Amino acid sequence: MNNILKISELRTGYDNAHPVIKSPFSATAEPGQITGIIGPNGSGKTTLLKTLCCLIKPLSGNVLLGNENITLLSPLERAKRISYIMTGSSVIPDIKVSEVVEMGRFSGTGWIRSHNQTDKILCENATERTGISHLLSKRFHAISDGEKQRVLFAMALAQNTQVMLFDEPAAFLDIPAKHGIYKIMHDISRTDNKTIIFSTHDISNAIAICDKLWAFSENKIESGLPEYLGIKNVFSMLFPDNILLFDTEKMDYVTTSISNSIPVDIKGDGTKYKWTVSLLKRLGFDPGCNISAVLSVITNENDDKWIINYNSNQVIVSSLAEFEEKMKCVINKQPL
Amino acid sequence: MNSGNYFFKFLVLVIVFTAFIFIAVFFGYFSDLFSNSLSEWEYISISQIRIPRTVAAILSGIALSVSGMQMQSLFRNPLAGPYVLGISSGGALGVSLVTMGLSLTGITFSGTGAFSGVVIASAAGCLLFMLIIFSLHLKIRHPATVLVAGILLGSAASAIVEILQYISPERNVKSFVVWTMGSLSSVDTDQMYVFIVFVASGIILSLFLNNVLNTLRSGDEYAHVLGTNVKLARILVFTSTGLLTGSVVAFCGPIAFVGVAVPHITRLIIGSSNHRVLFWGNILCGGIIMLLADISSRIMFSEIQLPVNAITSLIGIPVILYLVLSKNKISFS
Repeated sequence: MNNILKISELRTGYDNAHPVIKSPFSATAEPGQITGIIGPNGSGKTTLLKTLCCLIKPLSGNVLLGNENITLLSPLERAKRISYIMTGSSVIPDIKVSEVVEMGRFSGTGWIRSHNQTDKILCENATERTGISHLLSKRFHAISDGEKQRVLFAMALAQNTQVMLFDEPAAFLDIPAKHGIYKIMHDISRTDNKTIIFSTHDISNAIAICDKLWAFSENKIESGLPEYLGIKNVFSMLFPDNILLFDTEKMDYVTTSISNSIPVDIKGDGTKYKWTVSLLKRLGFDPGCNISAVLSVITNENDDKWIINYNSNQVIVSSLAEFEEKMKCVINKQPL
Repeated sequence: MNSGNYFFKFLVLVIVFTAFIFIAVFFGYFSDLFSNSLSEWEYISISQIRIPRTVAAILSGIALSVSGMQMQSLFRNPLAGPYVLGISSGGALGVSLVTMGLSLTGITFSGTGAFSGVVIASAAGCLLFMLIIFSLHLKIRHPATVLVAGILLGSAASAIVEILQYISPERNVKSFVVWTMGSLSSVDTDQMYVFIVFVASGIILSLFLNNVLNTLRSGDEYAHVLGTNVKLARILVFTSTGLLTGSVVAFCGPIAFVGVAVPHITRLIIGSSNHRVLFWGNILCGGIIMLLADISSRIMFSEIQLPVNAITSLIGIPVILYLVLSKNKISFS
């Protein structure tokens, strides 16, 4: 069966006079693929996701899943094909976790029927896949944000749809929880052959896990392989101001150094060196300036000392706090 | 979902329910009942007075609890109840026009049987307010706005009622005030059958709304994503609440607090927020609480019968207060 999600010439938004997605957007998403939607706030990521699950009607264009126009499906039939998890979890009532997962089966039971064996198996499978079996008897508001997100994933999995939409699934999560969520997404796209589309601000991770990216900027939408967008320099142009630059070494955004920063020549190695550089950057210095004459710093991995040469005076400090104090003196043009 | 967990709780509720029905119908006649010597007069008293009254108690308990549960889930508000849509204010307006307004113009309007003046007026008022809420709902997107509209309608109705009270003779004002206190004894055998039909139709409609209410708990957007036709669902919930609450207000007056308190009591007892389970829990608990209110309104003072609203308030208010004070207990379904 042909299960490709095909968006063609789509314009969408809350009213026709001010569409959020102005220029017609066409793209496809295939089973077994993860598609990431990136772009600044207000660029239409959420609006697109809500259009794909029919919370918003398209202003023009259409969305086909296989051969069916999704906007023409009945609510129950649509819910058998497309699931959507919104950002945040504040609207979910404080009910038992198992009951949240069971809500996902509504499209299967319809208005009247109770859960049968198939529904129970789907719920159990969803709980297992997301690793929340130990939470089932807890109340939803009593678990952590990362666990809540897993429970919502389980609800979407229980819905058992071909297309799964997630709006910023990893926002507000700590780093292990974030990677847990990405791992589940990757897992369900590969083993269950689901079509996953999610929006995110976490571009470096999106590049790492997505098969395809849709990059929303102010005026246009670029889509393609993450690397293709990288080569076309789309990431740097996503945020049009000059403070952010996309650093291809780190595969993440870096702030460009402040223009009037004080040059400093720093020598050393190891972890202590790296953190000293980080401190200097934070204070507004421009480290790595080899020709600097006025200020130089020497650190050694093996001792607790920082040697500062400033205006041909040498000061040796033996704690990071003291070092920071001296550096602040430099900024304020006071003697050390 | 595991029905085995609830079996014991429901068994206890059914036993208590049955016992309360027995007490409500035969209280005071036990010795005669067991010696098989019910006199003619006792038989008439039981079949003409006790049974309609007991049925009225059960029906109003069931109707108010189920519609209270529906309103709390639909509006996602633990303090919502059957009257939040302003239905009872519509009833009060209708009754005040008949008991006080008409007499000012010199007309007396009093049918008998199932369609006495008060019942007709109250039902008409409820229906009118229901229709206003419906038409507002078609224009309003957000359910909370419907809530505000309900409160405003209620205030408008009570303003008119106050004017009528101010200008009416004392006797008429008293008969209105007595109506607002609620009464189970005004239901006669004919009315009882009409009452049964209305509550039964509301309950049958509600049977089809439990799955939908399960999704509506998490708001309109998730309900939509999960496959609910939200507009249709809301209209059907309003219809069932209109049937249930409207018939209680018409036949027994605006019985207080049962509709807000019983859904919470049920949630505490049953320990689930699945509407498929809560629905039956509310039917049993609602019946039990109203029977308890009815029995105690008769036996607390042997000489006079207390107004039923006094009792339901005394039962309901502590429950609500307890729920408000212990934050973790109050969780909208």
